[in-house]
Amino acid sequence: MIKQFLNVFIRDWLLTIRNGLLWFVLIFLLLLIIMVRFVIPEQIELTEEQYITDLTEQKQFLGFMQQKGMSESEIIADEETLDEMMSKNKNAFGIVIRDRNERTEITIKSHGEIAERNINLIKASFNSMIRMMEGRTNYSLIKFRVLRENIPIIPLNKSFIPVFLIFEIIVLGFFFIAVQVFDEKMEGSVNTYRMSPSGTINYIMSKNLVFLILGIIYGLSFILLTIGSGINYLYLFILLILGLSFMTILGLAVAVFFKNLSEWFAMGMFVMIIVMLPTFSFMYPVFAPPYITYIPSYIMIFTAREIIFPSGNESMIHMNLLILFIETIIIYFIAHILVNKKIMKAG
Amino acid sequence: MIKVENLFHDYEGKKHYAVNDVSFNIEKGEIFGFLGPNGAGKSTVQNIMTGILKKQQGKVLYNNKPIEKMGKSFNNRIGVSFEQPNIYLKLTGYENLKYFGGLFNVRTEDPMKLLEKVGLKDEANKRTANYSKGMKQRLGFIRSIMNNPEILFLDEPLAGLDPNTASGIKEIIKEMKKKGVTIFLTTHNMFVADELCDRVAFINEGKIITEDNPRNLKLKYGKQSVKIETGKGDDFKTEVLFLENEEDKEKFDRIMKEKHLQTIHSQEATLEQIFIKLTGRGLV
Ligand SMILES: Nc1ncnc2c1ncn2[C@@H]1O[C@H](COP(=O)(O)OP(=O)(O)O)[C@@H](O)[C@H]1O
Ligand SMILES: [Mg+2]
Repeated sequence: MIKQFLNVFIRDWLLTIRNGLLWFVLIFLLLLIIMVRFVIPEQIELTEEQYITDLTEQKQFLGFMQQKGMSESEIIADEETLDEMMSKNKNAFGIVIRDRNERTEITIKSHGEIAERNINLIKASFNSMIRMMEGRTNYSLIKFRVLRENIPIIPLNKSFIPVFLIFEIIVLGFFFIAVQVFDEKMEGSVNTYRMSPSGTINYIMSKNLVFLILGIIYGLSFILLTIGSGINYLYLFILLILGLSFMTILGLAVAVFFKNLSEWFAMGMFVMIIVMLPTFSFMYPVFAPPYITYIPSYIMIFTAREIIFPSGNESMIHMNLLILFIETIIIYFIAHILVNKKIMKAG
Repeated sequence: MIKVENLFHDYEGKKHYAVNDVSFNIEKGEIFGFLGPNGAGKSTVQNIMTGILKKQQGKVLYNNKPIEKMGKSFNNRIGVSFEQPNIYLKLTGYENLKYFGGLFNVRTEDPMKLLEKVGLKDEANKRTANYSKGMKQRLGFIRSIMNNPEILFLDEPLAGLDPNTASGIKEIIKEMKKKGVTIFLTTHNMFVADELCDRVAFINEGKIITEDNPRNLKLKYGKQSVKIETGKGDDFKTEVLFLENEEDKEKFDRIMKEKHLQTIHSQEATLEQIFIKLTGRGLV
């Protein structure tokens, strides 16, 4: 059994690395790394901009912040002006402080989505600010600047990383396995496999393993070269395994219905666009139709972000990986039935 | 050993049968041939027998066990060579054999030795995309005997090979028979059928026309045939006439009267001539 699997695997591995497309992906990966590291700016300059309106009776925050060196241009007298300023500067965000029911309420306004991590940072900054104002902490230890330096949203260039990562998973998994299946169908070599005692499980799992290895090498080096250390690589590894498995097996389940790339094209592209939709949702949070969360790549991309830019929500990672695992098992069973019917038998 | 009963196959579900009520038996250790022109249904029958094509109607039994109950391990016991070489073009000849042999649970032959057998040793490490058609075909053939099969299926094993290579392959087929391998072979070449087959079935338009030992067929149908050459000088025409056939008999009498006869031999008819006689069409 193991011997059979190894044989199928080595064969599939050779077939894959002898395919020119692989170099195409490698070049593509290098381009992405260059883009992230050198082309896309770290931040759009205005991201740093923030407008603060202090509507509390005592204006104690305002005074404190001014005292700590906040620039005048960032302090806005009322909320309407703040909204107006913000509408002129899409990258700025606003903070409104007001009294409500004897408590201080802090509202953060922004055009896009703010990562939970950043919200947490703002909260933490205000907490420490309040503690400082109350004299509970040593002033010199925590400066107000801390708030400003940490708030900027994830650097622009890096915010694309989860998208690129998921993109790689989709192309390597979904598309490449289809190419390999069509090669086998066209040269007829799949007939030969049919006449061996090795069956469906080896057929699926060996191809899966090939693209898993390649995808993991590509994915890990991409993250290592753009993000570097400091993230949980175990989570990333598991996400890559599940994401790539899901996409390759899905790719296989679709490819079995077609003879070659041109027959596959319309359907293949359709499925690829569907699985890419969540990346739009990620980049433009306004685009969030309710069905989108059911597309497995939605989970992949938001899990990838949480892993790469942790906001401390580990239970979300655990939950999502579990869901992905279950989805992968389900797609395996579907693919198994289809491969049995359509690959292991002719016409 | 192998029993095929009332096999039908309709590819498109339009009641257009590529295989139409085919029945035959193959005894252990014999070479059983299907002789018929292109499109007769030979490959379809082989593909149903090997389990590659889903059986629609009829029975295929191996020692009375139906093909659909054989399971994947049955593939350890059979060897299949297709009409197309069906090899991995990105792999070398050696790799093609190595990674195929590795799929079996039984002892397999050394790929290098097999390649040597069909004169591919020097090209063993070249990718098969660069092989000629004949080389690919030899590779596809030799692959089928890797696992020392009990039953061998050969779909047009000699088609398109030069005479030298063809005779090499024929020797291997005879060798396999000597080892007791049961062989099913399809061909549209009467010489192949004549030379190799213990029994041959004529197949045309999905139907078996007749089936017997080639020698018996020739005795049965070709007994009273004459080969005549008619015409003048170098401008002559060769014809075979079956004298028990009314039409041929009349033609023979006419030629005798017209005196353009050059030579006349009583002769054994070839399988193709018999095929033409029985079906009204040739083998190509
Ligand atoms: N995959 C297929 N789909 C539809 N028709 C087919 C297919 N394969 C073969 N046929 C048809 O079935 C008939 C028998 O073909 P085949 O078994 O290949 O004949 P042979 O091997 O004797 O040349 C032919 O008419 C052929 O066109
Ligand atoms: Mg054929």
